[in-house]
Amino acid sequence: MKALDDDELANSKASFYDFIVKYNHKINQNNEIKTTAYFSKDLFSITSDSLYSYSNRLFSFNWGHKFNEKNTGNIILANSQYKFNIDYDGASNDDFLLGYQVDETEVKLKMKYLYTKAHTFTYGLSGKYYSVQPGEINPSGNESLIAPKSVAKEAGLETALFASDNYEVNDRLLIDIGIRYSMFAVLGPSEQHIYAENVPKSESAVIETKTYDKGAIVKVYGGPEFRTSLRYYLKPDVSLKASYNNSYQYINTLSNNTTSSPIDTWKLSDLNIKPQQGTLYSLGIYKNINSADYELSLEGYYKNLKNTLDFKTRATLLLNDNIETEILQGEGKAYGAELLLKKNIGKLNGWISYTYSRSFYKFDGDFREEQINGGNFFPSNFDKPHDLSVVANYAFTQRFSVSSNFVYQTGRPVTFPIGNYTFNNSDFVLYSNRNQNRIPDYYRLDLSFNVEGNHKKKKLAHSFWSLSIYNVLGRNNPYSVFFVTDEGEVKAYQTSIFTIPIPSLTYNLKF
Amino acid sequence: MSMIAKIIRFGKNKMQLFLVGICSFLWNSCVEPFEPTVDYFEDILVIDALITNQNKQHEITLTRSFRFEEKEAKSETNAAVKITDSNGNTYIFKETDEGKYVSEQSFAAIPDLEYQLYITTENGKSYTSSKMKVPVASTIENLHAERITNSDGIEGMSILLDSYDPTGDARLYRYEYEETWKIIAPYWTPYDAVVQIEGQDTFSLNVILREQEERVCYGTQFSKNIISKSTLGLSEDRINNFSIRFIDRDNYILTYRYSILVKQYVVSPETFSYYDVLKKLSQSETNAFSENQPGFLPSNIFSVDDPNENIAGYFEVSSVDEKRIFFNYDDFFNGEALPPYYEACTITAPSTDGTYGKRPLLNFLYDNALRYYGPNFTQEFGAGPFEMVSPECGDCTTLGSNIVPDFWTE
Repeated sequence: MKALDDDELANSKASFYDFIVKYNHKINQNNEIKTTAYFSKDLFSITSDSLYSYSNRLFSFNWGHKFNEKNTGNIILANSQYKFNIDYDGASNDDFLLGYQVDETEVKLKMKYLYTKAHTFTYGLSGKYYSVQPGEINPSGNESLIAPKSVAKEAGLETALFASDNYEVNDRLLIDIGIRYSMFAVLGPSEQHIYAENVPKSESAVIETKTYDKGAIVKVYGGPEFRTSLRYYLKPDVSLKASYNNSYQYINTLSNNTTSSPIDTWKLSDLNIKPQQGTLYSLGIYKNINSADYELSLEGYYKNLKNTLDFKTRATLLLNDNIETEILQGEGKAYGAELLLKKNIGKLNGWISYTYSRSFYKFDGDFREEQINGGNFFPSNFDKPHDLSVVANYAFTQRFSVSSNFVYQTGRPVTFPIGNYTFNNSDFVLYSNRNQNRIPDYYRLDLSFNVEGNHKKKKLAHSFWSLSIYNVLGRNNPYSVFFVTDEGEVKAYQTSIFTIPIPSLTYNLKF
Repeated sequence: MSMIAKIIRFGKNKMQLFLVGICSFLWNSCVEPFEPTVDYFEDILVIDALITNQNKQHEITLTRSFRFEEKEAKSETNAAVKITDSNGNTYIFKETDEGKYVSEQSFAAIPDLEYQLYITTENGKSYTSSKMKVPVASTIENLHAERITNSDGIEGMSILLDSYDPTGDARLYRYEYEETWKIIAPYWTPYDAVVQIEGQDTFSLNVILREQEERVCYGTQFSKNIISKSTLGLSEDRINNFSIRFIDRDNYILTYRYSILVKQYVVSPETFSYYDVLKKLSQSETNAFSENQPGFLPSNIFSVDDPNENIAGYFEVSSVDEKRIFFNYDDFFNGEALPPYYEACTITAPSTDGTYGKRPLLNFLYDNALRYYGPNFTQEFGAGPFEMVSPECGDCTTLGSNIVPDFWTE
């Protein structure tokens, strides 16, 4: 391969793996245990000077107990950890290691009470402990002049009480109505800034810094969340589903799309960052054709967001101590519709799904620096209007089959530099309004050929081989478009991964 | 396009432990130049307006944004420009040069009055600024130069500033400087070579006395970076030894005599924040991880007709104080080697061989691409009749002005 001569890329490496372990055990008639463990790690470098690694770890334990015919209960214990690291080893004396970590641990007690044939009550309580290590940077190598920096760890405890009634009104109508009261305690140790009112939040507007000890409660947020859904059979094979729910979210994603490798970071709500509130309405119609050979559905939704987050223009995206001075909270709205046609059985099966969806944000603060795009709605980082996905499987025989997968998505919005201007004896780069441009559209076709092992019943394990070709069309889908200012000149670059068809062989084993 | 693919891991050994298998992928990735297929350029009005508490004819510059491939901005000409104050005064600005508007009368921004800028462009669009007030005035206590070794280990001259505002109200500052240095062209002679006649077979060259001063000149340069300083959070509104400018000792501008005029502006919080955002947006980072969120930087000037029209630039009302210092290279580097000149000078002696229009030396003379240094006795540098040097080495007017600036003292 020609590329191997290229010094810059010859050192690039990448790996990807994930493990899932599931273990279910039925102890006796009344007790059952289900456990799942998952671990994945992605490691890749786009240029030889940086190595990215992402890892996910999930563990869950679920003990189901049957008290009597009417009462059952579950205790669920779950823990997850997400980490990313960047190991930067450039030519200059600025090598660093950057780390980021989010941990969540949840305990939940869920009880079910079959009151009558028509009413099933579900109730319980849950507690979830969040811990975010928003980043630390350390010099790597002896030469590095990077100053070690660490942004203080954040912690919070979300507790909730919930109850719902699943009410089968008649053969046609099923209603599920529930309420969940959720509370979030921002926990110390922590330092929180108090900002002067009537001026934009900035380092210079800090009038007081409060220090909280470990475990001290900094602030409590919370409120009721209502959840309602209903299903109604218009005809035996046509159903209508509608739902409404509102919710609070205490862990906020901060997504940045301006660098070679877009990175998401997380921020817990605190004294200065309010929790996000979402209200979701959805309505769908579902039809089975030819008994259940085909399924056709059309679903629509509308979502309203309060206190959604985005960066101020010029915000420093990583390792920021006073992140509240760099982000804005505003309104959001999202809506969409999905059309799905599914063929469940037959030699040829699969589905076609098309979704049109939009997502807009609005930040209209009192000060100019607290507005984005003049305080008007603009496409959020997640606004990808068109999404088409086609999955088709064809079984030649019991053992040989072929699968194909096609995906098309509108390119993600991004902010482009659109020219230069002269001000104060210097030339500056003029940027467009936020997210006024898009990276090129994404499309990809994958094919895979599957060979299953023989179907002897008594075999220890069931196995199958799969030869897949990822990105058969060799489409160069940009992962990111970014700009680098070098000696006053703006250069545009795109990062792509899997720019050629990638074959891979998978061996699956099931005990 | 380059790419690479490798399998790093295939965790076979561990597989027996798991109920559902694992998969392994080949990865390849690349970074390559991105060429947008759409033209994203936006032609917008750029306003550079600054008035101060100095009693003078203030200047406002109107230009347009320009494409990356273009060298410089086009001027916005024939606009009607005026500033009003809350006392009912109106100051009309007249276009003296393309896009450059100068107030007809001298005036100074007065505390407590509100100033507003009005512009109507040639195509009839109107723009108005927010109302701006001039912040309190503060003076530069001291400006001095010091020989230092900076944090990158480079030796040179640092221009340092002290300022103190006893009222404690100023707090937010930004700085501009204008530096001027003496240039002596190292390969200057009083003579010049000119082409008298050039024909098909014959030509004639003359050596004459130069017609203007080309040995000693004065180079001038304005600050390009945004320099700002806040004393918020300090118990006193005091600035000590704030570095305005650092000059590498190998920079030729230090060679003989150097002067710097530093302007200290006391700015409003709004203006400070505007410059802060501008600075962060224009910083080029050493690596791609510490980028700032880009976006349009809103001005304090708005379109009267279309609230969504983007305007770049700013109407600044600030109070100013300035100080100038001079120093010689000898004052700090007495007896030490002078910095290298602007460029390494080499002598050449291009030949006059050829036919009409193809004689190398003559073409250099027509284009002013080389300057006369002396007769070529040695033939060391070529076969031509004259020893020649680059214009920068033989003629200082290529690097500066041959007029002694008004403020210059020796």
